[in-house]
Amino acid sequence: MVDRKRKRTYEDDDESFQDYRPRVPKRQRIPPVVQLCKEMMPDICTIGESPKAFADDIKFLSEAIVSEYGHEDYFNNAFLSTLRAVTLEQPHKQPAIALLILAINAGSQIAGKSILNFFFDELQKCCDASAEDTGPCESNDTGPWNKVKLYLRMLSLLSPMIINDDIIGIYQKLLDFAVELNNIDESKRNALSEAIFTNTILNIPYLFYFKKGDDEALKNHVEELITTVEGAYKMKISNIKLLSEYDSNSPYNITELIQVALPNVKKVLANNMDQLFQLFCDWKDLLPEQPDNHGFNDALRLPEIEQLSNYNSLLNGVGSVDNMWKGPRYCFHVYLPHSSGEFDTVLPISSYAGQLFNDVVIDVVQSLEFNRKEVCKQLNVLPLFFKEGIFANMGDSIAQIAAIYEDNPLASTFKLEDLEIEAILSLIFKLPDVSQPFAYFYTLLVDICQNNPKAIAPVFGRAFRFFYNNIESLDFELRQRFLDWFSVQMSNFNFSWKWNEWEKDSNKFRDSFYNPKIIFMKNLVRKELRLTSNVSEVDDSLPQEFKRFMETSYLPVEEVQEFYQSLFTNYQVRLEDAKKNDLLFTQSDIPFEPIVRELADYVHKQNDVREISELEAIIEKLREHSSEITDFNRFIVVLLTQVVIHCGSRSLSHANKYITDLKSELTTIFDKLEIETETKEQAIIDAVLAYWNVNSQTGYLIVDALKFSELISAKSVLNYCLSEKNGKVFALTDITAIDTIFRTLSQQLITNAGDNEAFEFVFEKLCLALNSSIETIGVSQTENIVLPDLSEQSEIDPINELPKLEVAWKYFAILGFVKSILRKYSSQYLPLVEKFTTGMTNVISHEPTQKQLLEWINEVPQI
Amino acid sequence: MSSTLAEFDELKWDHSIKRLDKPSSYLLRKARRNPNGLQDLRHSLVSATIYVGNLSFYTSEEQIYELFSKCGMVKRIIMGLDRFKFTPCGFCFIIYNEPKEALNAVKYLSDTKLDDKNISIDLDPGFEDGRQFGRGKNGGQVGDELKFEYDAARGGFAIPLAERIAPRFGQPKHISHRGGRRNQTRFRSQFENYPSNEDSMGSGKSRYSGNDNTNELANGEENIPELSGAQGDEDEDNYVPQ
Repeated sequence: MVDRKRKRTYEDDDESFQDYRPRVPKRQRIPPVVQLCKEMMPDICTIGESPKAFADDIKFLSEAIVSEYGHEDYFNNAFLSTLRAVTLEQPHKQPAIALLILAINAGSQIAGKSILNFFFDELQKCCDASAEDTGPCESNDTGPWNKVKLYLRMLSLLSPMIINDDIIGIYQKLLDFAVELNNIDESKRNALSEAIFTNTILNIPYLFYFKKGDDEALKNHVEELITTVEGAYKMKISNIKLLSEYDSNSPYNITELIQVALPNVKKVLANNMDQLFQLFCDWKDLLPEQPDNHGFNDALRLPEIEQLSNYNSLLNGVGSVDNMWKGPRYCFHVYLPHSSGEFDTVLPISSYAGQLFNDVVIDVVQSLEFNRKEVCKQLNVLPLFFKEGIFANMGDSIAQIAAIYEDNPLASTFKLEDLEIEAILSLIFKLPDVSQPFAYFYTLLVDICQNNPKAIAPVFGRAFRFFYNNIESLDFELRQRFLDWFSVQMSNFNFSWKWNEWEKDSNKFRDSFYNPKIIFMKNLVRKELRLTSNVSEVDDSLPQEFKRFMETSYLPVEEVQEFYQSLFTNYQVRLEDAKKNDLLFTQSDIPFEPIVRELADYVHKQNDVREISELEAIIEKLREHSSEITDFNRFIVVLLTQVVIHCGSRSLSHANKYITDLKSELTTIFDKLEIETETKEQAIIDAVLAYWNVNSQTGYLIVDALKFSELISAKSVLNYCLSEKNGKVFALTDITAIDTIFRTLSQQLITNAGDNEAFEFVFEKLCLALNSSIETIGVSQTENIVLPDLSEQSEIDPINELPKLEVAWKYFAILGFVKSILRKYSSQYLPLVEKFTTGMTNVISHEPTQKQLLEWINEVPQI
Repeated sequence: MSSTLAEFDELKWDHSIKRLDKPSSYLLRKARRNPNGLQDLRHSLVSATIYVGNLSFYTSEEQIYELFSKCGMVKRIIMGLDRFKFTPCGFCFIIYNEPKEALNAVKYLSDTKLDDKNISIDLDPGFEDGRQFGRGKNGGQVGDELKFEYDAARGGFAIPLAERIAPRFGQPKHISHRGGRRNQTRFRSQFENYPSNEDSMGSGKSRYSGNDNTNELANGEENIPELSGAQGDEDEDNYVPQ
């Protein structure tokens, strides 16, 4: 420090020193109030993180605030903003903050009242906000109604300083509002009503945080409140199949959050609230006696129902957590009860504690999305804000917990890490939409694991196994999310995975194309290869059995050879040449090879020196060799496309550059050819994918670039992916093709919002594929098709019966794909619902399939 | 002269925890010294561009795409190149479709691993031609020339062995590094057809004039910008990364 100062002085004194840097101005003195805030506010934000200092922190902070509050606006604003920030962003700390406020109130009632007013006003602002169209929220904004929940929780914690009737009045109003919304349409679920109902009910126990069971009047109020709402609120349970995480054989029962909320609270309040005080910290000793209770200045005003607009159904853009209520909030599970022994490792969602922890973890993860490092830290300190002994020791293995459980069945078997990871996974696997970009959740999980790999890695391992074991019934779109998460996780941890566990499966279905487990393994290895430049690292991590997945060809090489061969009359294409990621037409034994090189030279030329006449002349030269070529027009399309992408083969930006530069020339030449648009576009895509057969991801990204340059249409891309080649539909098995379909459709959504053609096309194409597989299976029109049972006990012979199994897997993959697109692009399919419904009988004659599709189509309006 | 940075210096109490999608202390320091600093900082929030550092030299554009497309739609990736060798030198710029996506990348992907390297991400006021080249004495990044540790993924040792120990130990030796040979083609490929060579730097040759290091380069390299077509490939096969 001293040295740096000296150096600067030296530089400043040096006359020859020339720099545009300003001379360093004298250090400004920070006003004392700002300095105070700089020191005090971080202490408030971290309150309770050090349990030993907690009592002192409360005492000293409250004394300091009592003496400062009300003197300077700067301090008041900073202090209140900090309280609001902690309340909304770190809800687990709310009891500690509430204790601080109660201590302040004991020291200065004026300060206490002012803080209370602040929270009430904030609550009011949130209610008002939902009647205004404020545009899309910030990504860390959880939404006004979620904030209402958090402010209400804070006010409930402050119950010792509030008149009972006033705080109960707020509950009453919110619950009445929920009932009113719910009654708008008896037959239809109201998203906002469910959110308000569940959120408000969840807060009730907080009224007793500092009051314990002492306040009989409050208890009576609460009892009355619960009885009234129980009678008035009609639950509408809607099992929307389109939103189900599993297509069949769900490993757990489907429960909605709204179903468990009220029973949970009733249970926790029963028996003198014993359960509640096993959960909440006992800070009664730290609570100073409260002077007279305050009331609120005004009554809470809730918006008119007509004004709610977007908020009524909690559509996108209303805030991350609020938006999660758009569809029914189904409870998500990974670590199932009794899956590892006679005990649970996650607090059941059908308990108040389970629901509350889930709620708090989701709020922290969503509202602190701007600092994932801090999310990890806060999730770690979470238990400090609840009673000790709720969770087993961090990092205890399942075996250790089982041993402890055996010794003492009353000891806790709940693992905090299981609970948190399950909650985060529920956000990754949320249907129909995910609330933040996937990257956030993936890297958050990576960070959590990095902080404590020994404890967390096995927890991830159990989740991986769970999804892998259920992959056959897991939703089609969720399989891709699982794959994505798994690959990011592995690439951050040296690709280490106990592959041996899967060896049996890999061996059993060695020759399968459609087996979901084989598809998963194959795509996983390919994804890993795309994430690293050190191929040997992935290779080394794989046991012998899985090395075959290192071969990354998209189409079998024979098919590529066949494709090239179809272009020539005499020339024999060699298999090893078709294998190469190189321009085949420059083989020295091809008669017109020098002309192809000329063409390559032309493409390499600068924009300002290229003349299209030169290109035309080269093509004319080629025409002389037309006897060597089967279809000259198609050949020119393939050749030109491949030469351009060959010149740009070094990287994606090279490819983009060449495509953009030559776009108009290619269009002109192609337009002059006598070839139908559809054939031409298919030839372009064939050419790209044949060239990039070893890396179809790059191939498809180049296809994207060609689409942006309008050389091919979205429909051609979709058609290529969905087409069946020798019984194989790559769009059902290859992640690069699947991604391309989703990417193309999502781009259509942006560029051609009003046009549903591409969406209709995909649906029709999938229906045709369904028909063809039903035909191959050979079932009668009424017979159900069942997913083959491949459990250990099953007697199916995987080798002899493979063709039968293959077609069944294919059938279910197509169904899964239909389900995913109907859900993901529900807004685009909505106008087509009627058309699909009426036309269904003509398209699909197999009754069970027809019924299934109709069921999903009819659910589209509910998404 | 903007030694104070307006809203960037302001103390705010609206969050209980600091945001990760703010300009880094490096950017702030730089902005303080720069007359247009404040403007640059403001641009960096809306430019949809990020700077990615501490990449392995062997990481390809496709790998970068694979990771960064998880945050949004990548419009363009500009690989950072050694200004003499035209080989990747461990950084890149990524331009997203929307500013929000760039901020997401800063928040969500900073300090994650790509190719075994913990990458660093910073906001950027916007890419300008010329910025894709390393500014170090030897053509790479300045930071690499100051590092003392061996880093296989970033060109091994920065300071030659002989200089690191003592002159009495004899002549400098080529220090081999993991993956060096394997990736020769990757190295070669990057400079061979760098798309905006000509566009960005005017005539290809001028950038080499007055450069002492040119002599050290392998034969084909000087002609790189003028290379065209398949013939060029053959010349460059002699290239061995230094």
